[in-house]
Amino acid sequence: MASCNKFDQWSYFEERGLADKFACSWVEAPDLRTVVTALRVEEETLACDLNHAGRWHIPYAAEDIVWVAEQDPGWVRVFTLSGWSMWWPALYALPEPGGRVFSLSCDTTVGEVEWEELPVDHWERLRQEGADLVGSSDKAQEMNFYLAALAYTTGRFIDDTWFTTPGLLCRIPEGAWSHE
Amino acid sequence: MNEEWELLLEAGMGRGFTGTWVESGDTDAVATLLGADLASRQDCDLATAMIHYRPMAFTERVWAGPHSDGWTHVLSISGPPPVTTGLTEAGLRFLQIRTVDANVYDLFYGDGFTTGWVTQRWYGEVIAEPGSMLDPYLREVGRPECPEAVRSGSWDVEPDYHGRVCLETYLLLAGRVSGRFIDREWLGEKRTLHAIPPPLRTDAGP
Repeated sequence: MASCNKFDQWSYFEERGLADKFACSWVEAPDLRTVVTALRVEEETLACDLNHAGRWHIPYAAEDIVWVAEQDPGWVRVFTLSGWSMWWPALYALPEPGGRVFSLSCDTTVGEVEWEELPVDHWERLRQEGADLVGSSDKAQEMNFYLAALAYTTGRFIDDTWFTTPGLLCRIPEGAWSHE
Repeated sequence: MNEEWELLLEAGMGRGFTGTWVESGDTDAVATLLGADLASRQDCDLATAMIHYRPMAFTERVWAGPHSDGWTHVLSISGPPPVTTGLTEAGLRFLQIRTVDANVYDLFYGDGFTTGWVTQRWYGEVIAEPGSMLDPYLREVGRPECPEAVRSGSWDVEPDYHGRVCLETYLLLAGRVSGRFIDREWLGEKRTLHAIPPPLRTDAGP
């Protein structure tokens, strides 16, 4: 279903069964290691791409499993595969002064799209380019619009290579964030 | 009537069960198609294999062996369900049943050409695509009876009534298709524990 339209980003998650419960953060950080340490990952890790890591996607399980990868220089993405992402304050507490953090989530069963501090710089341009009209459903169009705003800001649109980027599958130990 | 799930719970599968029934009498070939490293093989009983039990671990292990005439069974001991694309590429029929805590996933099957799901409806009713591999077996099983307001065991970690009935139907289908049900004898057999190695390591590791 992947089309040539660069705004059609949400379909990549739909194709892979990762769209039913989606949560991803884009973090300005020097490298993957900094983010992984901030998330208090101590136990298991596995070096792999997101195509492989997607096998650990269990939408409503309590276990915290994330996949972390470097994107363009200066940006790291954290993709939630399982768990409720209670660790998100870690991203805002990274030691980089002025570092930006963007989070986007979508729960298809509840039908809610949520975002944290999405970049608004490009919204006018995106509307002119029709980024909010691409997608097979209202939900897809909404997600494609936000994903485009993120892509213009972080320098990377989502395509097949987004899922073959080397990264690190991480388990965040139980209780590491529950009492914050 | 169907005590298969009770037996699997007894064997310690409450936190997650993934079973893959494959139509092939060649266990090593099936294990290889699922990505297993044959050099890691260790013949053992289920209790020994269960020492490694951890449903969504990053280290993948399966316990595999002859199931019935012409069928191999692959029980996941740790890690997510094994990738079955190799089975379809080899033209093999298979069924995969999966639970995670109280959730029962739709039964996933391959007919050697394509794959599909036997999906869950309400009150324990499951539906197969008309004309598909499992449709005739499901017709034979018929619809479940209306639910009694009975729920046994721990609600948190075991499938509730609806999921439980669907799960029993799935196990019944797997038993009928493969010609053998899970019983004490099955659980007492010696099979082979295999590791499924991760993909080639990239340089993003710690």
